[in-house]
Parts: sequence; structure tokens; C-alpha cells
Amino acid sequence: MSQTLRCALFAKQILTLCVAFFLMQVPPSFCGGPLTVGGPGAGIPGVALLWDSSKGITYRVDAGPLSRKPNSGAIVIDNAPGITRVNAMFANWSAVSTANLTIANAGGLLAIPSDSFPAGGDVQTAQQFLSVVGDPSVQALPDPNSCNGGGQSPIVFDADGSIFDALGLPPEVIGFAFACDYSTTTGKIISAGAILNGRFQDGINDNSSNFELTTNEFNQAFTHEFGHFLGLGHSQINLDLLLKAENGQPYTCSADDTAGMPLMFPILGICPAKATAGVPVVAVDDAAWISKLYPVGPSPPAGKSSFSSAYGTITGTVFFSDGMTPVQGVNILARSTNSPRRNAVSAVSGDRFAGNPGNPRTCADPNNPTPDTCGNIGDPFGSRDASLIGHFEIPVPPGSYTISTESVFEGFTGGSSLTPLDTPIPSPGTFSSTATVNVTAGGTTTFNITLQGTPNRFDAFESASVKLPDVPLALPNRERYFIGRRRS
Amino acid sequence: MRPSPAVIFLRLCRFLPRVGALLPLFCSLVLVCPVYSQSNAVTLPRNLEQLVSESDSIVQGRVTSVSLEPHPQLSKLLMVVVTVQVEETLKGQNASTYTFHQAVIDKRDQQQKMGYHAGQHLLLAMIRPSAYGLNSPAGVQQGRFEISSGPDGKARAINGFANAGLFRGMDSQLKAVRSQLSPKTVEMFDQQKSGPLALEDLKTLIRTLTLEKTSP
Repeated sequence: MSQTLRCALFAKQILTLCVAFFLMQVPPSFCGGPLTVGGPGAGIPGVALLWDSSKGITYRVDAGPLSRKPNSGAIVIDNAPGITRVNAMFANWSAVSTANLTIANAGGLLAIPSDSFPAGGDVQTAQQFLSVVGDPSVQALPDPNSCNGGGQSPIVFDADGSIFDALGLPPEVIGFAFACDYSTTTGKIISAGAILNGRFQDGINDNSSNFELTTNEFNQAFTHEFGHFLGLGHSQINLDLLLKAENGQPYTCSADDTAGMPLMFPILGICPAKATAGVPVVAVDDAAWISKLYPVGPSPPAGKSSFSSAYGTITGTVFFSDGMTPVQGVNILARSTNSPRRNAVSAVSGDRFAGNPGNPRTCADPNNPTPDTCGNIGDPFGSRDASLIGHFEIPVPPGSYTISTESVFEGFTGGSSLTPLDTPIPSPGTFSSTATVNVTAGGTTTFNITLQGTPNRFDAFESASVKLPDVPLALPNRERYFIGRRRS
Repeated sequence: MRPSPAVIFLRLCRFLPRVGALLPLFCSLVLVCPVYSQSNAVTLPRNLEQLVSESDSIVQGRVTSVSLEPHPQLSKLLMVVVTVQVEETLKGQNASTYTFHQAVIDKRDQQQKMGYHAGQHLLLAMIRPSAYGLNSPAGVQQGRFEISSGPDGKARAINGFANAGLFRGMDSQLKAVRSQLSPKTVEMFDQQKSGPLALEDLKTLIRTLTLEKTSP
């Protein structure tokens, strides 16, 4: 082999390593299906962080109004209708007949004696909000009644948006759900919370610091947030509508489009609010995933159906064109041959594998990795089981489906991500098939996907005769490692 | 200033001269505001004009330090303290460094320090600090642009929503600076594409918008 070719091959491999390293420098995975998956030291690796549904899920609600005019002005939406709306938002999820979810309003907020916040109190200031959330630092022990102390899951009404202002959040923030406490051994969520910005319901829209949403838009936004509260991640279906909207192209949302757009789509409002359009609030994808995460067992209680009687599973792995190398971060869609725009469920390949698995070789003690002694400890969440790379499972109602793949939209990053690869990368190839996959209740159908037109694997040109130069690296523990492999 | 719904309506309806009876239905559908979920917050979308208008400071620079610290007054709040070595100030007071304090509520954000790290090259459009000295990028992730080198070696910028919708409803402002921008950026305007934007073009637009706001 010529020296030039050797140099080219070496450069190619170094470049590939650099690209691979770059791609691994990503935050923890917030994937389609589950929001967060357990990893080393954070729950059970590869298992979604979820509530213990056998114990029921309870939340507690602020005693103040949901919305009032600016500067503590007149009440626009009082506490009772606010609570009714919150209960209805949660009920959208608990009403899914195949989801083993019992979600209950346990009453008013618990007292935080250390901060003199009374039982059943009205959160009106940033200090009170932070008291209810509890001390987040690992050094301090949070109040046991607080959210971070695992004592309660608060739903807070910031009636005039003043808490958002005090926290330095811009006026376009409608609200957010937040994680509080979970068991690092079982991966079970113990407490979570949400805060709703009532300024979006005060009847004022000045187009600069006070915006307005319709009741249905506001309710849908927080039903989405409560999906996160329950441990559900984002889903991408009917993306073409978002792309048309972003590209300024005309489009309409048919009833099927609106119904098929998941509540857990990262962007709300591409189609009209579901309640406004008169379609079910929980889409087929949402119902499938909440049921997959919280399945009703074989002996369902009254009013519920077992997951296995109502769903089957399409499972497989997405591969490069070589049919061997698995691909992370590809969105896979199963569309029913009957009403494909409405009846569709999606998953992201490798959604249980860590976005950044880290590199223990760079740790001073690889068997005891810590952030202080490792150059790249990786994400606390997500499995390191290599068999999960490129793997997917899609829960679907029985029927016939066509399978397609697509890239995750490049703008779905950070809090709007739905892939272990955040920032998402374009799918390295395409897949199209007119073949149908038949799914039966309780059955599992395997469907592996080999993408067409992908680049070759990075070592596809590697020759057994190539010996990579040994490059010594000075590492913190003064040991020397070598990039490349020695070949005799 | 955000265009009024009537203006947006007219702009959108321009695209649909032949739709006839479906026009009102179409326009009523697309007028529903998209709502972005960013960094655990559900947030209304902002275009560049709105981001600039809402900002108190717009700086370009490199992050030199990031730390998680307790808030001095709000004892149960952790905040990420970010210091940027300023390369250019596009809005607000000139200074060699810019430090801001952003509230962190979610434990996962705490672990990731809101995604900031030393060495990051950013263009930040930051809102005015609150009474507690806390602030965030305008539009949360939308006002935070990561700067990197493009394939042509030139600097480019992309925000937390891949610049999607960044030029929505900005026809008049874009006309005024069209000749100063690269063909690719003009194409992004015309086709409302998402994706990285030439940094110099982004700054040209910000300067123009900033001047508009300060002119009598």
C-alpha cells in the first residue's frame, strides 16, 4: 500500500474518531417514549424513570387563583376552576384505558414549617415557590414536605406571572414541569412539579410582555407538561406540517393530521388545539406510549383493559447499509394502513442507550468513575448495553402497518429533544418499503431496518496490513495509552 | 414590534390566492401560535426582531467560566453563573466581560449547568435582570446562538431551535438590509429555512434592528 494511501486511511480514521467523539459530547438523553432512562448510579440502566404506579400518583395544588390581572389585580380565573382544569389535564392521561395510572389530587400544598409556608397556602412569591420546591443543593437536606424532599408534587399557579419575572424568565415562558426526587436505586420517581403562568390567561395581549392563549391551547400545553411529569418524552409524527409551517408554505391540518399529531410533539400549535378541532386530546402515539410505560396487567380492574389485549409490539434495529452497524437517533414511524395520518406511533432508534456513554479509559480509576477523576464520565442516564444501540420498540394496536424512517428535526434540541443524540444528526440513509407488518394483540413482530445509501462503516476500508501509528497520550494519571491497535 | 394578527393574516393569505373557500379555514388554522418546549419550559416562538427588542444586552464572546452557586438572597435557589469574555457588544453597555446569573429549577438542568461550558462561543441576547439579578436569554433557547465554523471556514450561528422561525414576519426589515447579506442568508429569508446562519449576517441584522429601536 502506498504511503499516500496509508496517510489517507489514517487521516480518515482520526477524523472518524474525532467526529464520533464530538457526537458523544451531548447532554443526557430525553428520548421519544420515556423522558429519561436509567443509567449507572441513576436508577436501573436501560429502564425508564417512572412513577411506582402500584402506589398511585398524587399531586397537590396551589390555593391561589390560576390567573389574575397584572400586579396582583382582579382575579380572572379563580382557584376552583383552576383546580378543575388541572384535574382534567391529568385525567386525560389516567383515562387511557390500557394505562395503569391512578392520579389523584391530594389537596392543597403541604406546609413548609422551616419557611413558615402554611398548609394549603397560596404561592405568591419566588421565595414561597422555592420553599415548596425545596432546597436543590446536594449539601443541604431539603424540607421533607418539599418537592425536592420527596414530600409533595406541587402544581403552582403564578397568577400574574410575577414569579416567572422574579426568576429572570422571559415573558414568553408559559410554564414548565420539573423533576424533583427519584430513587437512584429503583429509578422510581418520587416527586415532580409544575408551574403555570396565569398571565397567559388574563385576557390581555400587548404583544410585548403579556401574551394570551386560548383556554384549549393553555390546557393542551400543560397536558403536554403533565406528560413529562409522568415520565413521557417527546414524539415526532406528521413532521411535514411543522416543516411547511416553518418554510412559510401553505398547509392545512385535516382532522386526521390534528388527531395524529402527538400531544408530546415538541412544538404545540402547528395544528389547532385538539379540543378546538374536536378530536381526542390524547393521540394514538400518546396512548400507546403511556400504556407501554404503565401497562395494565392481565387482570385489569373495572374500566381498564390489559395492555397485552390491546397492543402488540414492532421491534428491531436500524442498521447502516452494511446491515451490521446499528444507527442511533433515527425516528421510526409505524403508520396504520387504515388512516395512516391519524393512527401512527413512533420511536427513536437507540432511545434507551446513553447519549454520551463516556469513556472510562480516561478515568484515573475506571472502576470507580467520578466527575472529578474522569475526563469524560458520560451521562448519568441511559444504558451502556451495546445491544441497545439502534434498537427500537414501538407499541401499536393490532393491525397492518407500514414502516418508514426519517431524521429527527434539527431544531429538536435541549428541552425539546426526542433522541439520545442531542443535537440530533441527520439520518445517514433512507428507508422506504411498501411492505406491511401485521401485528396481533400481545404479539411481537421483528422488523429490522437497513438504511439505503449510507456511508460505509468507518473501518470498511481498513486493511489488515495497515498499522496505525502509536500515538502516546499524557493522561492525568500519567499512564500512557495508545490510539489505534498494534498489529503484528 | 410583533406584527398584529391582521398583518400576519394578510401576509399568510398572500400565499393562497386560489384557495377560495378554504381561505378563512386555512388562515384560522395557521394563526394558532406555535408553542415551543425549550429547556423544560413551554415557550412562545420569537422572531429575531422580537428577540432583539426584548433584550437588554446582546453580546458575542467566549465562555470563560461556568459555576453552579446558591443565590445570595433566594437561599433555596441554585443559579448557573456564566462569565463571557466579550468580543463584541451589539446592544447594551460595552464591557470586556459579561456575567449573568440564570435560575436553575430542574435537577437535570442542574447536572448539565443549563448546557453552558467553558470555551463555548456564543452570541447571547439576554433580557434585563430581575430584581434578584437573574436573567435568561430572550425566548429561552431562542436567544442563545452557538457559534461554530462552517464548511467554508466562516463563522455561523444557530440558536436552540435551529433558527426555525427566526425571520417569520420580518419582511420589511429584511428588505432594508437584503443587499448587505450573503446569498445563502437571503435564501433563508425567502424560503424561511431553518439551519445555521452566517454570523456576520446575523450581526448585521441585529445592528439594523437595534438602530431601528433607538432611532427617534
